[in-house]
Amino acid sequence: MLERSYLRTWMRLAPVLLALLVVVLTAVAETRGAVSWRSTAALLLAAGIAAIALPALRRDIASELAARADRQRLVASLDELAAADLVRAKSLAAELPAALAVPLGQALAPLEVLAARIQSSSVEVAGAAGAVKRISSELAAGSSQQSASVVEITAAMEELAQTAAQIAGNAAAQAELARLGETTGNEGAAAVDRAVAGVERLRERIAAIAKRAADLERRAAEIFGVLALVEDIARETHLLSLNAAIEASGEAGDAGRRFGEVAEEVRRLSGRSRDASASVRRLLEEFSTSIAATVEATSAGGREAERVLLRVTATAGAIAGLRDALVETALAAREISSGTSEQRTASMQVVQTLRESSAVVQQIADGLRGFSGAARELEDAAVSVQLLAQGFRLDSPSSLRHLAESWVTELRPLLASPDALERRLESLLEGRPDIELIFVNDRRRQRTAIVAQPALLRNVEIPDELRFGHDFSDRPWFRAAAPERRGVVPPVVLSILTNEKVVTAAAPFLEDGELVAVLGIDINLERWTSG
Amino acid sequence: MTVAPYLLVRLGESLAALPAGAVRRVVRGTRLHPLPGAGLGLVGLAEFAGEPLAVLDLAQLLGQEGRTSRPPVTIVTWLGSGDDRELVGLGVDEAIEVTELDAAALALGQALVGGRPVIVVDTEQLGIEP
Amino acid sequence: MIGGFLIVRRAGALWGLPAERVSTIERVVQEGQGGAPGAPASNAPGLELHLAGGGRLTVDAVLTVAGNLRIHPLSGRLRRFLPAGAAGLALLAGEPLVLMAPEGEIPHA
Repeated sequence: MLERSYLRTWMRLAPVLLALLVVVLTAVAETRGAVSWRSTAALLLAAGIAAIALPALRRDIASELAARADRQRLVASLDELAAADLVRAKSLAAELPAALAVPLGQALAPLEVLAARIQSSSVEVAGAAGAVKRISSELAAGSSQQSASVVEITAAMEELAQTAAQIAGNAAAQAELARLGETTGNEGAAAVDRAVAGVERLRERIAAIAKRAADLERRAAEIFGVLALVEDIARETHLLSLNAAIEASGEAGDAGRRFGEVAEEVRRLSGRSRDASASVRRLLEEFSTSIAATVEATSAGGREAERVLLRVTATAGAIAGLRDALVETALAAREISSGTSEQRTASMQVVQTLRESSAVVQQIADGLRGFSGAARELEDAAVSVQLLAQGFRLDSPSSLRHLAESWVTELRPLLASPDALERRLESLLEGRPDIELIFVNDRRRQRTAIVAQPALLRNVEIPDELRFGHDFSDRPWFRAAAPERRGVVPPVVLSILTNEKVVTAAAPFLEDGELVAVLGIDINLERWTSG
Repeated sequence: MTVAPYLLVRLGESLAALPAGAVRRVVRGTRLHPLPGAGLGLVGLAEFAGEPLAVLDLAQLLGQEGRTSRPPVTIVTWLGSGDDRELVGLGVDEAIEVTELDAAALALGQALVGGRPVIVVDTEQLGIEP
Repeated sequence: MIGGFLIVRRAGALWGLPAERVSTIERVVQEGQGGAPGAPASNAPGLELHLAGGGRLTVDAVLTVAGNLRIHPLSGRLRRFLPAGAAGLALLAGEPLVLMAPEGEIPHA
C-alpha cells in the first residue's frame, strides 16, 4: 500500500518537479539575460502544470500527509505496541482510518488476548510455583519430622529389642535355672527317694523289731508254756506231796513217817520249783510287758513311719509335681527364650527395616530439600515470567502497569494537595491487601507521600526522612520509570516492611513531557499471586 | 501236846486248815459243771474216782464271802462222819501244805500258823445247818 | 417207757428224769431259754417233753434213756445245795447228772 501511494505520489510529484525544473532553468536563463518567449512559455507551461498538478499535489500531499499522519499514528501505535502498551496502541489504532484501524485492531486483538493470557497464566504459574515451593518445604519439614519420628521409633524399637534380648537372656537364664531346678527337682526327688528309702528301712527295722518282739513274745510264750508246764509239774508234785502227806498222816508207823518225810521233801522241792518258776514267771512277765510295750511302740512307730511315709510320699508327689512344674517351666522358659529370640530377631528385623526406611526417608528429605531449592528456583522463574508478563500494560486487573498508570491519572490532580493525596492513597490501599505501600515521590515539591498497610506498620516505622526531600532517583523503580516515562514493573526486591518479595509498580507523573512525580506501588508478590 | 496233821488251804486271803484225815485227795483242774438253780455254795458238779462229786464253796461254807470264780483246787473231803460220811469237793484257791496243829485247834476253830490266823475246819460239821 | 431215766440236757446241765414221767417227746423251737453257761443258743430247735400228769418240759436235748445208772442219793447236807426235786446224783459217760425225783421239777436256768 505504501509502495503504491509512493508511486502515485511520485507520479504526481514528477510533473511538478519537471515544472519546477523548467522554472529554475528559465530563472537561470533569465538571470543570464536570456529571457525569451521560450523562457516565458516554459514558465507559463510550468505554471500551468503546477497549477494543474499542485492541487493534485496538494491533494496528494494532503493525503500523503494524512497518510503520513496515519502512518505516524500507526507507527506510534506500533511503537506503543513495541513498548508493550497495548492500551495506547489500541487507542491510537482506533484513530486511524478504518482501512488501517480495522486490520491493526485485528492484529492487536489477538495480541491483547495473548498478552492477557500470558499475564494471568503467569500469575497462575507463579502461584503454582509458590504452592510447589510451600509444599516442598512442608514436605521437607514433614519428612524431617517423619525422619525424626522414624528415629524415635527406631530408638524405641532398639530399646525393645534390647529388652527382648534381656528377656531372652533372662529366659535363657531361667531356662538354665529351671534346668538346674530340674536338677534340683531331680535331686529333690532323689532326696525324697532317699527319705522314702530311709523310711522304708525304718519300717523294715521296725518290722524287724516287731518281728523280734514277736519272736521274743513267742519265745516268752514258749517259756511261759514251759514255765506253765514246770509250774504244773511243780503243782502236781506239790499236790502229790500233799496227797502223799495226807496219806502218810493216815498211816501209822515208820512207813508212814518215812513216806511222810519223802512227801515233805518232795513238797519242798516242788515248792522250790514253784518259787523258781514263779520268779521266772515274774521276770518273764516283766519282759513280756516290755516286749508288749516294744511291740506297741514298734506298732506305733510303724504307724508313725507309715504316716511319715505318707507324708514323704505326698512330698514325693509334690516334688514330682514340682519337678513337672519345673520341667514345664523349663520348657516354657525355653520357649520364651526361643520365642523371645524370635521376637528379638523379629524386633531386630523391625529395627533394621526402620533404620533402612529411616535412611530412605532421610534421602527423601534431602531430595525434598533439593526439590525445595528447585521449587524456589521455579517460583523465582515464575515470578520473573510474571513480571515479564507484567511488562505488558493491559486494561486488566492483572496488569500492574495499568494499575500504576491509571492511578497516576487518578492522582494527578491531587499532587498539589499532599493531605488529599495521602487520603486518596489510603483509600486506594483499602481493599488491596496485596499492596504493602503506595508512595508518590513529588520531585518538584520535594515531598513524598507514603502510605502503608496499617497492619504492616505495627513493628515498622516509615522514617520521616523518606517523606521529605529524599532522593529516590537511585531507586530501581525510579530508574526504571524515569527514562521510560511509562509505567514499569522493575525487578523483585525485598520489602522493607515485610521482608518479603515485593515488586514496585511505578508510573511517572508527566507534565508537558516532564517527569514531575513518580507513583510507586509496592506489591507483595505472594499475596498478589495468591489473591 | 497232841498235834494233828492239817491241810492248810488258802481261801482268798485267809487260811483254813482241814484235818488231813478227812482229806481224800487234793485235786486240781477238775471239770466243774455248773448247775442252774443250785443254791449258793454249790460251785458245781464234778467227777472223782468214777463218782459224781458235788463241789461246794468252802469260803461260803465258812461264812466268808462266796467266791465269784471257779476254784482252782478242789479238796475232796469226807464231810460228816460215820455212815453219814460223804465225799464232797471243797473248792479252795490253794492247797499249801500239810502241817501239824494242836489238837485243841479244832475245838477252837482257829489256830496260828506262821503268825497267821487259820480257820480250823470241822469237816464233820461242815455244811450242816445249825 | 418203764424204768430208767430219760437223760436230758437243759440249761447246760444233765438231768435225769424218771422215764415214766415222760409221755411223749416232741420237737419244737425254743425261745431263749438257755441261761447256764454252755447252754445252747436261744431260738435253737429243742424238745418238748409231754409229762404225765400234764405239764410240759422244754429241754435242749435228750441224750438217752439210762437203765442202770448208779444212783447216789442226795444227803441232807447236799440237798440244801441242789435244786428241789433233785433226788440224787449219777454219772453218765463221765459227766455228772442230777436225778430228779418223779415229782421233782427240773429247774430252769
